Amino acid sequence: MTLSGIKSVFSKAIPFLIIPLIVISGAFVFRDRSYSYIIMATALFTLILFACGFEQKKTGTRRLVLCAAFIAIASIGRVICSPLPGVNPVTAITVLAAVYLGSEAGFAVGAFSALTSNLFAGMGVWTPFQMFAWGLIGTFAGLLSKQLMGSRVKMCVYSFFAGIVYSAIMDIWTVIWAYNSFNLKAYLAAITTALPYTAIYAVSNAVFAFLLAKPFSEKLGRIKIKYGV
Amino acid sequence: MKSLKSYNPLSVSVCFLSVILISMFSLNPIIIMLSFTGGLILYCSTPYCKSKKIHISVFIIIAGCTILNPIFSHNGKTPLLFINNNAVTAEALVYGLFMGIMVAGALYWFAVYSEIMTADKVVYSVGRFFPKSALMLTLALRFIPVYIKKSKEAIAVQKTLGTFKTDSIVYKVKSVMRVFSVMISYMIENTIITSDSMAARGYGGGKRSRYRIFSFDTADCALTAVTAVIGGIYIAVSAFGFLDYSFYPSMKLPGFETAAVAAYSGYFILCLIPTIIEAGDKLKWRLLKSKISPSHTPVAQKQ
Repeated sequence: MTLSGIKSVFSKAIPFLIIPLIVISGAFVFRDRSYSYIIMATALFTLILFACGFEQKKTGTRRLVLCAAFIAIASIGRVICSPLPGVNPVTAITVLAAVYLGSEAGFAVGAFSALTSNLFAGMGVWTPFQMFAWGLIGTFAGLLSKQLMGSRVKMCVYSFFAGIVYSAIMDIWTVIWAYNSFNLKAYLAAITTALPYTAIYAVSNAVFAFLLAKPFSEKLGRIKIKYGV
Repeated sequence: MKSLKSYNPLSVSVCFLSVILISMFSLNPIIIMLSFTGGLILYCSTPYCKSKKIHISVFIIIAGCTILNPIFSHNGKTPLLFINNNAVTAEALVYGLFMGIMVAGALYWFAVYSEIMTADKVVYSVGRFFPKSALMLTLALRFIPVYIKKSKEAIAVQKTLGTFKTDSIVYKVKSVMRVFSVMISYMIENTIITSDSMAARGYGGGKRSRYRIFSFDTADCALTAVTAVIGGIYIAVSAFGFLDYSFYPSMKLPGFETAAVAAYSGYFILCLIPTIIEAGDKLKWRLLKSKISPSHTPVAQKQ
């Protein structure tokens, strides 16, 4: 069996066999914190699943290198903006990449920007969840690309809500990790504590989307016609 | 003995991630304390991590968790005091303390781990299973310094053209956007050139070689085997419920059956292995050095 054959079997086996197996057996081993374990394992396997899909699909070299360039720009932006709490252009750039290059590229840009920028900003337990959250934002932006393309306002609105959803996802993780169950009271408390941060984040996302949309759309549109990416 | 940095990234990852994952998903206070102790010893003894700032953030995390948990959680049987008719319980306080210690221990472990796993090692580990993703990661990591250099050049050129001159914020943002626009043009043209060059050199035409090769030698086998054995013991003991612990409704001593003690001591050995490897490497370095120095002293005395 060839390598790609093994990989295709692996990617088909993961959702139906390996994920439930690891989740259930792990829940027996880590009884005290079974919920935190389940949510972590699920996030990790979702990432692996997407990576397998990405590996299998034929991506043109140009598209691949463009994705890498988007990841680099997003990581630089995040490191430059790190002194300002809650301000970073990763969401805006992920949304732009997803709209113009498709939802798979959106997932890749979102997830890998989290990984690369964490090489500078600090790795941690939160890395898989950041990858997951930003990847999800990119995927949905790619699915909505027909609606979002060409409209600056719609992109701003999407980025604004993506910021809120990102904070909500990260807070779910915080609460489950700390209490090993979904405690609604603690979740509301976490959201309230993070409110100023979320607000800055959502607004700055919209501002970044507004500022970046025009140069990106003009130039990406041009090379799409010129080189047929 | 070789240093942790020259181990195969896969064997180091297996060891570190087992320590971190076990401490993360266990509520047993002894496991949490062992992981914290091991992480602290490793952090303080390794030559890579010199920053003292981490101790401050560790203190803030532990104090914050201890104070915040009783505010949101009123479980537990032993009320200490009442605020707004809500009990502040001893159990919630201790639970918060141990959650803080767990996060702090993971922080120490991750600090050392990210020091050992440099970018090329991350690419190597990912590339074994996901070559396309690893290529994208490699390209992105290469583009980062290139873009930073290019943007500095673009800023210098724009300054000679008269932008960035005034203090007006609107004007400054406009200047930054101008540089940004230049950068996007450069980035897109550059990706086209890069990808055409890759295609011309036969990317996708056959098996790819790697930039760096890490051999998997006996030391790596030993590290992985020890980790697997200790991890297996932990999983077996834990699956039979010997390590179960709960802070609520009231605290009790954690289990000290023979099986539990075996799991604790095994886990502590696992926590100490990275420190022992580093210490062995340092010792070897010292011993080799002391062999060289005596031959020089007589010469120095003569002069």
